[in-house]
Parts: sequence; structure tokens; C-alpha cells
Amino acid sequence: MQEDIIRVQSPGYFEERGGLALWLAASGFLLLLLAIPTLINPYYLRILTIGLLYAYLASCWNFIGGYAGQMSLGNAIFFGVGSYMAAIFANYNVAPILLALPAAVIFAGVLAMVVAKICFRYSLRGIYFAVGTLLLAEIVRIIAINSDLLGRSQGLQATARDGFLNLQFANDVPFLYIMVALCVGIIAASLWLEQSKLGFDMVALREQESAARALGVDTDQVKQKAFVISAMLTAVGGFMYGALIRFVEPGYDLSLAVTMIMVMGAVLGGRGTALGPFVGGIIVMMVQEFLTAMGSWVGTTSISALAQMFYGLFFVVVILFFPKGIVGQWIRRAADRRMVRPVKQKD
Amino acid sequence: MFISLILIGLVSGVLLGLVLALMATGFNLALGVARVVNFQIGAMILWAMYGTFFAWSLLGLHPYLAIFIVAPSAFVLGYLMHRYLVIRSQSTAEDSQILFSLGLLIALQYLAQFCFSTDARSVVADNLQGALQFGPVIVQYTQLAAGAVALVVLAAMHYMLARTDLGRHLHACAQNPVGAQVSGLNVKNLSSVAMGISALCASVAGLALATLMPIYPERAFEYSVMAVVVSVLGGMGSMAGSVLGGLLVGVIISTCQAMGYGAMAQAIVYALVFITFLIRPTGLIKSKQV
Amino acid sequence: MLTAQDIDVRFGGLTAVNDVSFQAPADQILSIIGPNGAGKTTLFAVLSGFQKPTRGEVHLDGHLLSESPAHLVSRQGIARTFQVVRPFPDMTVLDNVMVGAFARTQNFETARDIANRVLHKVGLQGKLSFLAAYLTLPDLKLLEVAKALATQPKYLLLDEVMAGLNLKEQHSVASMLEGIHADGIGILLVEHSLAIVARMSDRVICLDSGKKIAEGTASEVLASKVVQAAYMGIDHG
Repeated sequence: MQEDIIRVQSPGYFEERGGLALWLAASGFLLLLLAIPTLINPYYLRILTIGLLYAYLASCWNFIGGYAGQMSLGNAIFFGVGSYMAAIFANYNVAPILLALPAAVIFAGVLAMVVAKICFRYSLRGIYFAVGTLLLAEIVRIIAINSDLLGRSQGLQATARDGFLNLQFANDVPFLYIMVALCVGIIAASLWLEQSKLGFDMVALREQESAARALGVDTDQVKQKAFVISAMLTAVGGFMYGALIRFVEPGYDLSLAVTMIMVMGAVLGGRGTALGPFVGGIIVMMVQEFLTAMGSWVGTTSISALAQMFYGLFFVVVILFFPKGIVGQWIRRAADRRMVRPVKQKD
Repeated sequence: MFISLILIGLVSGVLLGLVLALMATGFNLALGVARVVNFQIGAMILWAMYGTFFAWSLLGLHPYLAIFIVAPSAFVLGYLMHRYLVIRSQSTAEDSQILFSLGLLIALQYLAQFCFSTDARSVVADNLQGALQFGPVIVQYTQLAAGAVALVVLAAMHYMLARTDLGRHLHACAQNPVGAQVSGLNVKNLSSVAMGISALCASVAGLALATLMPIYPERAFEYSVMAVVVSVLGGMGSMAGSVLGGLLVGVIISTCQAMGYGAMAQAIVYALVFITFLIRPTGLIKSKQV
Repeated sequence: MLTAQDIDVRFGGLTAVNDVSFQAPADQILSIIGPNGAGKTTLFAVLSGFQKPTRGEVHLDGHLLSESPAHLVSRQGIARTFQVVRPFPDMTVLDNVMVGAFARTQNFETARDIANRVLHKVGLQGKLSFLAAYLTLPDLKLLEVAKALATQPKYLLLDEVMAGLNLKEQHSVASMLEGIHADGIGILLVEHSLAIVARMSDRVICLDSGKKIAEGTASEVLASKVVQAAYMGIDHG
């Protein structure tokens, strides 16, 4: 005789990850950007490009800070590696700027490997890991401020060089396309990670490290992998920034400011989700723009300080009201709803 | 010549170190009792510096008299901040809390910048001009005063924690909040008190610093990092540790400055603390309590 | 064959495990009993790589285990559960078990199949999409066993898996474990529930203050005067 089994209905693939509506909206948004870039005012085009960069960077941080759950506050280092590499290649005429990209990625990877090995071998975790990585970023920033090669506190103005290999384009549209491609790429990579052994290992160690070890997960190595992957991808983002803006300085590129963009983007959107950091990054950009616009109404530098203050308060609000992030909270609520209303199915 | 630089570094460093120790004590108290990462302590220090400045420039008050206005105000504001704002972050994950306090730091720093602009301000402590000289060592009176005031407050803190009922209650909260609650202590209130005291320590430190260096908003983050760094180096939860850590960091910074490596002084301290995280995260002095 | 030889575990001045040796063939269910603080969980920690012994060695089929860290011991075939359950709260039941399944495969579908089958065996097939954070204690215990089972171990080390369950639930879990054992997996139990120990065990070891004070069949050990004095407080005066 067939038993009635009360079974929770298995959710659809996108249902489990923020809802089909959200994914369609995000896809639509990106397609729209691809389709009509020239219709957008160049100022807004740049804003959107930077917004996509923020979304991309947040997704990079998500690998170490979201899936693996380690609060790294030092990713500015790798962003800076990317942006400074672009500027150095430009200014010192090392090679076409495009080649700065693999150089940056490799350099960032090696640096990250060293940092990760040290940190995780000594079991640095929680607030110690957070403050430790923050200190490392500060050390790098201080070194840059004192380095003539890196332009000291003035930074470097990257010389514009001609040609496609030097990422010199007629307008910002190709950068927009590149950023869209990067965003799509990293979201796809996140989705792939979620169905892979590495992804499961990362989440397991985040949730309960000792239990993960009892199941054969080499937690130190997994954390290292997450950190290095995150670092290398962040360096790509830094490179794009350097190539686009053509001005790098320690006060921004190696500062807490850029780290907070990555971290808050991921936190606001939802740590450990594939689409969350993308959404969060876009919102962070929108908030910044809104506050800057608010500032330009009145037009004095003291108002821009006010905007920064609200920006700080914005972080506070996010932590208080969206601790799991917008997408993260949606996913959790959807999972709860599924449990309360199970679908009775015959076996 | 070299020796005299070292000596100057030592003396200045000890005096600076006492102020740093006070900052670290404030940070420790919030962490130990209220279980809060008070990363916004740098902003508290900054605001105390501005408070000192305006007490001096508008009211003509000598900074060390202004302490009687600044310190109690800081206590009240710190208490209220915890009671009505920070306490809401308790339910979030530990690593989100540091983001929360970073947000507060940024907000408070830029509020100061909005109110007072980025122009550097200086407090000139009228009767503390000049310096003491013995042998090759020159020490400003302002430095001596700063160190002395910090020492007095540190001593008072120690007395309070070790010998008063309040201190015992704070210890209890730090060691076992549930047990303390069950024993009839109002843990919520005591946590806010701890934050208030944390702010008070920060304010006295800020006051002292205001007599030593120019005041501008961008330094708030640096002050926060210093507080955390000294706290961890010395051993979170131990006042003796904070003092030891403070002295060590103070001496390193001052000696580097005396020898002309001022720029790298911070980096050296950060590197030292990072290494401490790795090999001895409990810090120089292990303790289970504040 | 899992063997422990001359295991000592000392923490500073405290000796948690004192010269314990035993053999656990895979075709037997071995129970370790003893009063609280006798060193049972510490012994499990040594067997599973979470604690290095101060002296002595653990071997599995001739391979030395006691120098290896926990994740490598797990890969060698020792799966342990924790006395206080340690699920992955933000993951579903299925995903929880898949973490274990991924110990033996890199492939998502294969891992999911293994997890499904294990969950069926353990009786949680109706709750695959439940978040572990919301499970009841009996289900959490089953989940704990399922996670360990998914690693396809040679030995299952179960630390007080019966704790917190009523007698009916305990017997239900015992039946499930006997089924697992029948599939060829060796089982070591740390248990306080003497009814279950009597029911399930082929051999029993009793520890007291870190020392092995008795070894034998369940009836032998439970009847032993030494054990009764140490564990059940029966004074034979």
C-alpha cells in the first residue's frame, strides 16, 4: 500500500536562490545595459560601470567572506595590486596595459597564498582574522605612502596610452561591456561553486568548523583556496578600475573605503548567495550617488562630509535591519515558508 | 647622540604609552563587559578632542579643567549610545558587529568633519608651555601632564575595578553574564555603564592628545586602530596588559619618531601586533577578566 | 581492525586517559561506558584525530592514525559524531549529509545520491529540504549519524548518541544502528544508557578516571563488582 509521505516540496533551482523574479530582473537589467549603452548619458554610463564594478568586487569578497564565512577586511590590498599594476605598466611603459592584468592576478595570487598560509596555519579566525587582515592592509597602505615608485600619498596618474591593448577606447562603452561580462562571469562562477565539493566544504567550515573536519574537510586548505581565489578575482576588479579611472592613490585604493564597499555590498545583498552581492553592490553605488547628488545641491565640501556620515549610518542600518542581506533574507524566508506548508505527496 | 635619541624615545614613549594604555583600557572594558567591539572609540576620542578645543577656545578653559565637563559628558553619551543603539547589534553575528561599529566610526568621524571642517585645530595649554630638560633628554610639560593625567585615571580605573562594588559587578558581567543576571545584576544596565566608562577613558585620552597634537577628523580611524592594537598586544581583559602594551607601543612609536622613522612607526607596530595575533593571541598578559 | 595501544592523554597535571589499550574488530559493536569525566570522549577524540595522545598509538588496518589530523583520519575511514550535536545550521538536511558524501566523490550528483540513500537508511527522507537549524533533537541525532555515515566509513564512533532520547526513541535508533552494522561498518559507542549497551554490544569496556577497569561481554562487565562500584555506585563493602 502506498504511504502518504509528508514531504517538503523540492524548490526550483532559482527559487532556492532568491526567486525567479529577481533573477529575471537582474538578467533584464544587464541585457538592457548591453543593448542601449550609447543612449545613456556618459556621466551615468560611468556611474553604472562603477556600480557594476562594485557589484563585481562584492561578489569577489563573497568567496572568502560569504561562502567561507571569514571576515577579511584586507581585500583592499588585492584591489590595490590590480589598480597599481595598471598604473605602473602605463607610467613606466613596461608593456601594454592589458598585460598588467595577468601580472596583477599572479602577484595577487602569490601574495594571498602567503598571507593565507600564515593566517590559517595559526588559526586566525573571527575578530582576530578581521583585525589582522585590516592591519595588513594598513601596513601595505603605509608602505605605498612611503614609496616613490608607487607615487607616495599623491598616487599615480596613469599615462594614457593608445590602442586597444592599452584599453584606450573612444568612450566608456567597452568598459561597460567588460564589467557586464565580469559580473555575469562571477555570478556564474558562484553558482558553479554552490554545486561543487569546494563550495560545500566552504559553507560547512563556515557553519561548524570542527564538524567539517570530522567529515574529512581540510579546513585550513579550503580557507586558503577561498582567500586566494577571492584575492585574484579582486585584483581583476582593481585592474579594471585603474584602467578606467587612470588614477590610483593609497588613500582610496588601499584604504578601508574600498574594503567597505566590497564588504557592505556583500552583506547588504546577502553573504553566501550568488546574486546577493551583485544586488548589494548596485545598491551601494546608488546610495553613494544619491548622497553625492544631495551634496552637490548645496555645493560645499562640508556637505560631502555629511554625505559620508549618512553613508556610515547606512552601514549601521544595514547591519541592524538586513543582517542576512536582502537576498539572503528572502532565501531564508522562502525556506521557512516551504517548511510550514509542506506538500503532501504520494511516494 | 644615538643614546640620547633612544632616551628621548623612551621617556616620550612612556608618557604617550600611558595615554595609549587608557585608550586600550576603554576598549577592553567595552569588549569584556558589554561584549561589544567598540571600534568607534576613535571617534569618541576625536569628539573629546573637539570638546576640549571648544572648551578652551570658547570658554577659555584650560584643558585639564575642561576634563570636568568633557569626561562626564562622554560617560553619559557613551551610556546612551550603548543603551539605545549599540545594544541592538548584540543579536547579530560577531563579525557583523565589527562592521556595525565601523559604520558608527565613519558616521561619527564625518559628523565631526561636517561640523568642524578638516582644518586642523590646536589647543595651547597656557601654563604648560616649555619643557623639562635633563641631560640630553627634552620633555615637554604637555607630555608630562598628559602622562600624569592618564596615570591618575588608570589608577582610578584600577581602584574602581578591584575594590568597589561596581567593579565587582562589572567583573561578574564579564565572566558570566547569565550567571550575573541570575544573581540579580542588571546586566543590560551594567553593559551600558561599561560603555560609558569606555567613553570616559577615551575622552580623557582624547583630552590629553589634544594638548599634544593637532586635531583633525581623519585621525579617528587611526586612534581606533591604536586602541585595538594596544589592547590585543597587552592582552584583552587585563589592565596590567593594557598598560604594558601601551608602554611598549608608545616607546616604539616615539623612538622611531626620534630617530626619523616616524612614517614607518605605525607600520612597525601593526606588524608587531599581527605577529602577536599569530603566536600569542591572548596577548602579553593572560587574564580572564577585565 | 582498529587498535589503540597504551594511550595516555595528559593535559598539564591532569591525566584524562591512562594507559588504555583495546582492539575493535569491524564485525563487533564495542561500547565504552564509565562515569562522567572518565575520559571516554577524550578517547574518542584521540581515535578520530582531534586529540594527539601524549603516549601511545592508534592503528587502523595497520596504518598509524594517531599522528594524523582529524580530516585525514576521517578520510582513512573513522567517522565520529559529537556528544552535543554539531549540524550545519544554515544548510538543509540533504546538504548537511552531502558534505559527508563529498568526502568520497567530487561529483555533485553522486554525492546527492549517496546522501539520499543514507538519509533513507536513517529515516530522515521526509525532511530533506528542512534547514538543520529547525530540527528536533531526535532528528538532529539522526542527522549526526547520517553525516558520518555518508563518508562511507569503516568505523562509526558515536558519542552518547542516545543522550536526550526517551527509551522508545533509543531503541529505534539502536535498530537503525544495528542495520548499519550489518552492512559491515564497525561501531564504537560511548553510552550511558545501559539498556542500549546491553542490547547492542558485542564487547564492553569500562573506563574510570582514565583507566580501563573492565572489559568483556555486556553481561560480564555490567555484573562486575568493580564496574558496579565505580559506575553504578553499588557498594559491595
